[in-house]
Amino acid sequence: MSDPYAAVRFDAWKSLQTLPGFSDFPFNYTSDDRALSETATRAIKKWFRTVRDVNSFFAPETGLDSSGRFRQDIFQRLRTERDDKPIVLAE
Amino acid sequence: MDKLELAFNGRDYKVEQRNGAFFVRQRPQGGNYGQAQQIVLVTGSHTLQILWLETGRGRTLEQFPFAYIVAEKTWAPTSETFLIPPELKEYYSIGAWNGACMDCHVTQGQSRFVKGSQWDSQVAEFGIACEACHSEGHEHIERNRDPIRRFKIHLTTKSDPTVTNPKRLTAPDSGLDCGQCHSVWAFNNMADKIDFNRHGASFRPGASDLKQRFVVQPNTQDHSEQKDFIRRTEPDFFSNRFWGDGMIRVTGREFNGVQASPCFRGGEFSCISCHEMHLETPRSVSLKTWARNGQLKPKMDTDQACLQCHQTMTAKITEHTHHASDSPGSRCYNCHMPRTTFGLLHAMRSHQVSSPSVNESVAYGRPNACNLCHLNQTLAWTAQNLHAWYNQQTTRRLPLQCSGLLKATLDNAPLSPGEWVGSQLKKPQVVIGFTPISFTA
Repeated sequence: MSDPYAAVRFDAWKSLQTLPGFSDFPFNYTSDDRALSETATRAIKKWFRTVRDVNSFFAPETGLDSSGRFRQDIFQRLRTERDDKPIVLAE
Repeated sequence: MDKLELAFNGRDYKVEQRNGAFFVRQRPQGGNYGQAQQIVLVTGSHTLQILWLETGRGRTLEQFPFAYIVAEKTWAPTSETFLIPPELKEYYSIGAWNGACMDCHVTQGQSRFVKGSQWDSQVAEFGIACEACHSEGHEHIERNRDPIRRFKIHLTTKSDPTVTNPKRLTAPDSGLDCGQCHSVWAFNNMADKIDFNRHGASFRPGASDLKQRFVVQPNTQDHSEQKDFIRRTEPDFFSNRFWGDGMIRVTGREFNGVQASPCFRGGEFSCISCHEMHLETPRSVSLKTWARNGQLKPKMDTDQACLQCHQTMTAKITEHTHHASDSPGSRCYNCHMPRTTFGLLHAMRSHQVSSPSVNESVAYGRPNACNLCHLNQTLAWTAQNLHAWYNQQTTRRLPLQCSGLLKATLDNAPLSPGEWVGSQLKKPQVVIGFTPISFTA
């Protein structure tokens, strides 16, 4: 949600809204960097404190451990392999 | 829109309504508002709407720098509705509609470049009207004024030769009917470009080639001279539209994918294998739902889309997929048409039917269908399973986890919440500009 590409931020938000508890989560994807980070932090806190059910099982494909905690190692591996060459898709 | 006020990139914009029309005034922040420009055109309908302003220079249009996102009922800077580097603030500017957009967003457009940024564009009809797909209607209308002729056609199964019905065309010709717009295309030569500019497309639905133009496939043998020219004069042309292996990666150019599919070589596969342009009655879904879900025929959002041809697979889906029958891993689409194209702010299914492999991810950075779901697994894990299940050989080293910018744009992929906020992502350093195109649109 704080990705440098606006289109990525938009889709991160729409993806977040598909999760239970986040369907009406507000986000202005064209905000400044600080507001973007604040909203992302709010989403994470909401997940961890309010939405996450500690009794649920979370499949490994979600990038969460079985209790719903974020798998930093998976995310970092994905992030380091990201191709950061500037991209233009000519729609 | 009346009294709408927006700001972007150091400028303020104010919209006002007068006598049933909308006008925009703009000013540099802190400055005075300039003359009102009328909003004269909208492109897009059910997803994203882009507005165009009069310029006072003939029929030349200027883009209103905000787009309306229909589902969100919100305005956003147009440049932030495309997948482009954040440094690029102005994506399309004065004359862009005339020089590019109108090639497909109208019926039989003639852009008619005059000089500088001035155009004298003409159209048969704004939007995609009947003749775009059914060819010219004059003779059809004239000859069918005769009720006896109409009745005779009604009583037979023969087609009416005075009009084109894409359903009655061969699959390749039917596909090209859509592909006249839904493809990456280029001009054969400068003379054809000038002819297209002055007189519009000479292609008519039912024809087997685009006449002045051709569908650009990066890796095919045809039009090598033209494609070499494009590579020399616009080095980013292919990478801005295709994955490294030649698979189309931009929404709206689906015919490139269809044409490159192995199914296409069978001669039966075309756009209307799965899509319909007129919602059949009685309606099983609302018009709005149908329009927003790709104008699919009934059941074409299920395995039936593939099984209508691949009937022998019906009884052995789980044997083939190695996934539970009711899981996403057993849906044909998810493995053979994964969401690896992007446009209109969301990832869409590739229209090139293919089978997943890790090679495409290692060599070209294209997410493979397996790791789009199995985010936690490595490419080596994927390669191992593809080898065990399908005897697929991997020819490249596999040090990588599946990655790529597109992964973050997947509509339906669950976001991974956690402690990391994400502001650390390194911003791109290189600013990409646009090069004037010669043989391309």
